[in-house]
Amino acid sequence: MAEEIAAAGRGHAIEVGAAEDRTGAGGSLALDFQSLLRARLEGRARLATTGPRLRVDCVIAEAPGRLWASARLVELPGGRLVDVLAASAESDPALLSLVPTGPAGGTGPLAVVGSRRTSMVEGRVLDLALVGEEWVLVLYEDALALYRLSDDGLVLLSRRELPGPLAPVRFPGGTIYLPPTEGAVWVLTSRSPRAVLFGIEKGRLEERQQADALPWPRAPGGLRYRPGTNLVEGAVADLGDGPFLRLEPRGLALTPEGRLRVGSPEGARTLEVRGGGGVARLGSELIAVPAGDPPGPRDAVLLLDVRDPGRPPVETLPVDGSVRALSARGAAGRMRLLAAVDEDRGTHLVVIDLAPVSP
Amino acid sequence: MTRRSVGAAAAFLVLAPWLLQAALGPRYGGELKVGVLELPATTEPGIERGGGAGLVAALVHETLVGVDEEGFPSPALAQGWTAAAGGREWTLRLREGALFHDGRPVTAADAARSLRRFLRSPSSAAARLAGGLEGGAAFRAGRADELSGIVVADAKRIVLRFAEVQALPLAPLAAPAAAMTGPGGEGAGPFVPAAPAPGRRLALTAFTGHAHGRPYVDRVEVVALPDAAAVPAEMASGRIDLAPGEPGTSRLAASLLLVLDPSRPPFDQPAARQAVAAAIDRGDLVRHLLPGGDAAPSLLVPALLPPLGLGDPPAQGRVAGTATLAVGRDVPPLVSQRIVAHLTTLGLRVAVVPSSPAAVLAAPTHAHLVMWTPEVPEAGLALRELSTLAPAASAAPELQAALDEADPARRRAKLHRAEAALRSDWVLLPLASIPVTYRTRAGIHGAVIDLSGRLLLENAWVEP
Repeated sequence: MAEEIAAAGRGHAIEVGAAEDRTGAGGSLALDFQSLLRARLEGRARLATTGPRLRVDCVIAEAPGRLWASARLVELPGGRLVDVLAASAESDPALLSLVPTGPAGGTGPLAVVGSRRTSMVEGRVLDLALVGEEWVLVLYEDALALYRLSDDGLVLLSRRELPGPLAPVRFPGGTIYLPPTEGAVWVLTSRSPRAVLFGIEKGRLEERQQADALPWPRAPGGLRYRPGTNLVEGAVADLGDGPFLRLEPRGLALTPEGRLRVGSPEGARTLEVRGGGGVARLGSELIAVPAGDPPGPRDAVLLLDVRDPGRPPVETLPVDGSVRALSARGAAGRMRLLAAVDEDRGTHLVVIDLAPVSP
Repeated sequence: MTRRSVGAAAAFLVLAPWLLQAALGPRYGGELKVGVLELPATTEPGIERGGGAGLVAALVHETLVGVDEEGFPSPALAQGWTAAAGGREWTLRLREGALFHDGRPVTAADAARSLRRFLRSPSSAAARLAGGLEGGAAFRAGRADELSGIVVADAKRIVLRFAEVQALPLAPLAAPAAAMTGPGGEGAGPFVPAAPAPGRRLALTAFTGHAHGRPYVDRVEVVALPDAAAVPAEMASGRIDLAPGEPGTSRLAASLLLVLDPSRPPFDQPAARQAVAAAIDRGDLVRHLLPGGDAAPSLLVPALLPPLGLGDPPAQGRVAGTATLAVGRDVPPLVSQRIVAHLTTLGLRVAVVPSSPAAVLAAPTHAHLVMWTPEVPEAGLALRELSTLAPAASAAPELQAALDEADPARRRAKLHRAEAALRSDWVLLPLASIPVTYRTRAGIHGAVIDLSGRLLLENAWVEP
């Protein structure tokens, strides 16, 4: 199919859009397909997410004994339909089941109902936060930026520098804390000497306050970065004294070794589960962490059952590149996962929308 | 509508495990234990040769400038520079926030003092710098203490004044011997030496104030090994994480050179030197004993100077007599044995004198077999350094012309001529370009080897 798409593209840049999964099986099939198609197109066509291009919108469907993929090639900008391609193959359930296991609590299988990559952002992303339905906060080494997420990508709304002088750090860390009453955000990086509170008003960031430490739930002394590192220090009531690689406000953390630490009134537990550069709650049932394996061309986001996160992942979502930060938002009905993904050429954001598979 | 059936479409399901490779980023923490064949007695900047000395210099010290992969100066403790007076005056601006290990800021006065120390060191790069600086030659020779070529402009700016316009005038500052030190000898490198046991063990801790940021690992321990044969057992026991040997972190960065002493018989005869050059089967050496090597080398590795033709082959012959051969401990034993075997086929009786990598070139022997790496990984300075080992009269003008040439393409052409001239009297015999390799325990990332063959650990990290 990649060959046919490249031929139909006749030298145009190609964008691989979200794949729609109509197999009813749920899981990461659509993401796998999108990722594979992108990999197969490399070397055959120039991939792009901006500028004049052809966007490939795929649908995956299952007929008895066969798996179908069809693709519409649409010219952008403009939206003119250029071609429609289809391919099918015998499906072999012995190779890999299309039906994922659901969380132990019984939310049922999840389906990726949409995914897209933005164009490259302008720096190294230390942390992310989804604000409302369409805004995204991106914490860079030297600034905080507010974007609007749209179908066309990211639109910069506001950007504010962090206080200096910025210390040299080889692999800096950064944390965004959105207090429960939204409308303001605290940020701290290991390069900047001060935590800063920014107000978010009408799509603008306004600095309101600075502090020596980052305010954090159940951490009376706040959080600080260990100088020159990406490790967070501070005593958090249900998680311990740290240091931590990442913290999530509702009692989750990654230890410096990348192990998931789960807080509870009875005390914190450190699990054997290894995570990479982020941790987020996805709805009330799931925890999202990037896989904690050594660097490679591919990464994955693991979705863990919040009731028993030590079990094998409920779902594994493949990602091209290395996940450096994660944010999630939503409830049981529909969930959105946002990941900052490093590639050789730079960093872009990946938006993944998930929903439970209807019975 | 186009409809095609592609039998392999189900492959994306099979490929799912491949897609699950992941990316754990660099991690702060942990420690590394590195085995070396020779540990220098001191951590002071110097020109001592060998993997151990290079490693320690890179851990403890920082220079004003580095040299990039193209041989051009790159920022280090100096974050930038500007030229004036038609290219005869260079002002280097020190990096804001750069600190010595004792927490003192690195100042232009420190830079001036360090460069004065450098200029009087035995470094070949220092000789090159002194030759160009105003007053540099007299200062280096000890005839004067005044040095008008180095001026402290203010706390963060130092000016170098050259008598004439130079090509790549700042490249000599990348020599390890040109490292910046504080008044008490403190370094400014990524690790702070903590508990030295001179010649046997050196412990170092991460320097939080390093100019490029704290390194990832908390601690590095450098341990002197009894010999290369000890490496497998030390690695297997977990007592060390990296050590010279294969397989592991590797780079084609060293030249295997046979250096003949033209002042001593039988090598005072050009015909005898040619016969030696002709007797050694380079292809055989690389094929069987030096995996990853380059059998048709020039004096420099390809990354420094892409090889051209080697010119006319040497004339074969026989050489009678006895010769002593100093062999560096870092030369693989099988390689030195094979070379001795080649030499004996000429009729020579060869006595091998094992030597430390630091002392092999100074050994009072008829010949020296050495794993040579340049002090500064820039082709012109590297050839100049080699010319001090074999001062071929015919090479001097060619080398000077190359060093004075600023245009990169013309400079490269002249460097090729200088390199050929240095080989022309058969005193410096390049046998192979060979990889410098450190066996590396699984789970260690970011350790690299530069074009001077030095193991660099400031970006190394260890998987949890």
